[in-house]
Amino acid sequence: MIAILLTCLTLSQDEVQTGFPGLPIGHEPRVEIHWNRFYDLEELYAQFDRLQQAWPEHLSSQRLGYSTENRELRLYVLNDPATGPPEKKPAMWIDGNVHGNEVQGGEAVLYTAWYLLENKGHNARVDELLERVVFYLVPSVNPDGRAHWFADVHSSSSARSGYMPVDDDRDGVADEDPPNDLDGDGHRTQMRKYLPGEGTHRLDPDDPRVMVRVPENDRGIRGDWVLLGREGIDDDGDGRIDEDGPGRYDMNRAWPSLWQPWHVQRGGGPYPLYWPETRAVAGFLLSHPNVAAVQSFHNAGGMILRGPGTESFGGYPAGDLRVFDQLGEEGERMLPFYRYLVLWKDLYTVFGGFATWAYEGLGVISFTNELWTGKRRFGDEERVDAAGRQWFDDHLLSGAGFVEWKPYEHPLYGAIEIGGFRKDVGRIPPSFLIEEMLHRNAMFCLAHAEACPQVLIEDPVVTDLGSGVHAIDVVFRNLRAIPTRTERASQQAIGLPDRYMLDPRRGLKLLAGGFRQDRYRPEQVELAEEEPGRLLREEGLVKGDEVRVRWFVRGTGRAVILWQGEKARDVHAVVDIE
Amino acid sequence: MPIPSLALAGILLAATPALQDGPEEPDSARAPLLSHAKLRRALARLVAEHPTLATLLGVGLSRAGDDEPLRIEAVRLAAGELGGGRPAILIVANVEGPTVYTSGIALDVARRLASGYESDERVRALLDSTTVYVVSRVNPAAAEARFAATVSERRATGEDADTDRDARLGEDPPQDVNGDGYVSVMRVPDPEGCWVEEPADPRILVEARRERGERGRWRLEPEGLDSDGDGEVAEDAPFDAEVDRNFPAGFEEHSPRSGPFATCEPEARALCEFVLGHPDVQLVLVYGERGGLADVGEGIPDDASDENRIPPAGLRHSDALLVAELARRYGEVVGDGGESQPEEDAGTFARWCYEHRGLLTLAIQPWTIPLDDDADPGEGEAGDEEQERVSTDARRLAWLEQQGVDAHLGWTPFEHPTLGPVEIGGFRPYALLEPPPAERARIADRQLEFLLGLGELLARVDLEEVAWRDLGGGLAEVSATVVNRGHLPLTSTWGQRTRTVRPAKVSLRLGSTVELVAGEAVQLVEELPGLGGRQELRWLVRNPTAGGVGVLVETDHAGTVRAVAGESR
Repeated sequence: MIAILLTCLTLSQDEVQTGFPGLPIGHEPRVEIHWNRFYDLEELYAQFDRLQQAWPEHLSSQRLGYSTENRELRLYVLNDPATGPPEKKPAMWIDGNVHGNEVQGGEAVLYTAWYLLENKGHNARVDELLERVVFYLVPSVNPDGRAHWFADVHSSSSARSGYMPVDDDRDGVADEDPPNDLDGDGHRTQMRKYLPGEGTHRLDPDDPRVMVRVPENDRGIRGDWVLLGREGIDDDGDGRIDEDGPGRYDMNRAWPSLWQPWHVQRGGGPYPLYWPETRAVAGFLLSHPNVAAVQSFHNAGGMILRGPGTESFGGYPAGDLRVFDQLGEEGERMLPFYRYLVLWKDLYTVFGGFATWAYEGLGVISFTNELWTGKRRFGDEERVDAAGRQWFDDHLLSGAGFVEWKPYEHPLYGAIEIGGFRKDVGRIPPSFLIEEMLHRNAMFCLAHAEACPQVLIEDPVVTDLGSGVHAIDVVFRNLRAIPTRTERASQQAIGLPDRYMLDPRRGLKLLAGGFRQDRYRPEQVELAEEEPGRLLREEGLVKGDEVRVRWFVRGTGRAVILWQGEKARDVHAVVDIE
Repeated sequence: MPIPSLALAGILLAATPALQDGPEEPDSARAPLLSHAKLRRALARLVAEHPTLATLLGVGLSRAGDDEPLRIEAVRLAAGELGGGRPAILIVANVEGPTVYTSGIALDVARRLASGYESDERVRALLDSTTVYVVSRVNPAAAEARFAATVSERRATGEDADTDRDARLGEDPPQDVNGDGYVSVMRVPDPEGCWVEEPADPRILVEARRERGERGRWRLEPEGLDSDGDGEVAEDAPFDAEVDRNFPAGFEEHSPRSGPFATCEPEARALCEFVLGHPDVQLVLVYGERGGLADVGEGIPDDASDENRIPPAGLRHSDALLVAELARRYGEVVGDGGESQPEEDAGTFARWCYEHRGLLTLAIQPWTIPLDDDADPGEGEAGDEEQERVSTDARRLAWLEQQGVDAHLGWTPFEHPTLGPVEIGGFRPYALLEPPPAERARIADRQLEFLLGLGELLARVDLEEVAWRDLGGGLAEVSATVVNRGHLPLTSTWGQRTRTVRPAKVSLRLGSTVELVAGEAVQLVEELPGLGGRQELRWLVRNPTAGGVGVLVETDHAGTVRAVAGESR
């Protein structure tokens, strides 16, 4: 035993084990990607290019369109061509970064692609998955936002929007009062002003970098400092600061289900899919009904979110809810620190969200994961307050995340201080925690993709009814958690119904057929009025249920039994009547 | 941005597709029925003949016609300088497919504005102060069905859905099975059918009064085959989405007639973009099949509360009062205000304009067959008692035939491949929708008349009481009152909630040495009611010797005005 272990530990280069499933010894990835930093748009696409070069058969790309500022909106198709073309398989859609500053979604998409490709051919689970499922991957739905967030001065929460100019303050000029980097240090941090006895905050006596809010009380205790928001001036002279920056809309409020205009839901544009990025993505999804699973990565907070986005929608149908719950609860185990939540109830109301459109509009089981939570910095229970963030930065990042307070003469506020955390602190993990976040979320996607429907036709049973007439009984099952059509899809007539078909060959003649109503009473058949060889079912095939069909044929020959639907591979079976 | 009209007209003429045969009228006729190619030529000619008044603007492309996408165009009519927030009225016609004739009405109005400018004082007053945009045909793809070799009333032009849920798309469309050139109606002998012949005119079918022991004789089906063999006739056409159900306000999700999402239809999106791109529009007139001016009602309370964050639909009370006044004037000039349709207005353009853009919008049904005595005095063919019993359709047919309109196809026997012997016929497509040619000129006259009265009602900003008061010590107080000279408000009550209408921007223009001591250099005035709405603004400035202080009021849609307070010393 010891001898075997030793052998494993001392593998030489040419003895390297194939694949990279997540074990730290004896495996070496074909394409080494450093998972300890985030990549700007060009770098991110370049990493995908490397994957494409290494696996040209399995990864292809297409341009969905262009962003407002003419950057490419790229989609990657990850498919095993040996097992069929993409459109013949159910698909999992994964995107990220629709909010430009929520960058790690891009790497989560990249990691998922990398993991699948590295392990394809070396890992039975991955092979089995790629035999059945194709992946549509959009690393950044907001290329402009991502590009600007990396390149320009930003905070952790700016560049969320796209970059189409919008006149936010309605003065007839667009984007004329943007955020500023007043002290020119390349960071957009906080402004604070010393107002002895008149402030709302005081400095933490143990750490004067930390602002502590003075509690409201009746003892008249006041602080000595006020916080004045992020660095900015009144560029357009209207008396307000930073009230008309670039964009300032929200591409995750622009999707068609329960879309609402500005006065109900800010950010969604003057009509649904107004922004070119959103229209391009929607166009692809509407023309690819094989998409059966959707994940859209955001940050932050550690959440696995599902719809509905609004209370007024009501509840989701019970059968679909079971699928959401099964995946969501499994996700909570795979993603410690993450909670499985309902958008409107547990977070806030969203009209026109993407994941809600994917389910409510397209009938697809979909989640939005909010990647990274500040809780991950410490142990399970510790509350992370301002002092804790500072401590973490000092002790685990050697103080690199904090820009020290420095005096500055503000044109409006006079003598102030500018300082605070950089844009890459807060909503994204520090470098040493990136890989874990990516891996766990990618594996959640794999579990979600594995739930894509897989139809099985059991061996048909032939019963001789005499006079050359036979009954063929066929049982259809779905082996996976996601139904071939969700209850939502069948209730709203989304997509096309499933087809249960029998094609008689040679001397065989199809007389009648229909869905059986009762397992034990073969005579209870709901006979089709037309086309008994092509039975239609609006309801999907659900895991654990079975659909029984009885066909009546005369003569001898071959019957080809075929199941067709939009969200599972076609399957067929053959029975010969002799 | 003005476009050189002659040059553009030349290009358009060159690009106009070949004319097809059809029941078109010469475009010299008043309010003519024109195919899209001919309509475009008429627009190009209008612009060429009146280069200083009329300009052609692209709106967008309709869905593909037979060969190429059909271009949607607007004519802009205005005299003098554009810009400066000059108020505009937008006229839109033929959004719903079958209302083809409204394109002719809109074209006629545009023509008469252009040709009347020199001779008609009222036209000159309108165009000197107001821009008029006319989008005479929003839905050319549907309108072409009016002029095709086989005529059909086409409403759906867009995204296809599997309406009969058989996993096949568009496989059983309505069609002209007897080759008479019309897609009409089939009546099928059926003892379970609910239709019988009207005694007064057996061409007309009325519902059998089962409570009086009448049995039905006929079942009605759309003209078509059962192409997919499912026992249903013409139940899955290759087009389902309708342009005028495809706008975002009140959009019905998961309805084939609405389309997969609001603005998926290119015509709807193009028209939305046109409205967004023309913030000078203050008032919208939609010529179509929906009326509603006759019964505007009280609207809903201005402060009606939202439900689950969604505001209730409908005119806010203050806006309803304004629309009711416009409707009253419409009634005086035009006569029939057109009652609101029982059908809901989910996803219509008119609803979007008000509900999402805050624009006062009049849905105008320019014509209906006049059935009451008032509308057609001296022509009464029957007493009141008789009229009670004669069906509406029979009276409509009688009226049309009196006007010499060949409005009914009769019923022609036909051996249907799956239904057996049937009869094909009924009203000629479009016959119930379209005014006779002689009527159309009169309708256009009245619409023009109504339009000419609207210009003076539009909100227009002005400055009053621009004053300068020396306070001594180098300080002076500047004051000015922004007023609305129009009848309509600067922004509708609802528009103040939607925030889609830009407020008036009041800027103080100071000489280089004048300093603002108190007050805002730039202020936004959101609300200025009509009929004298006003808001006074005041500033303190220092160092007045340097000269006067300018006050500038800018709007997108109610003009621009400037004044100088004080004097150069």
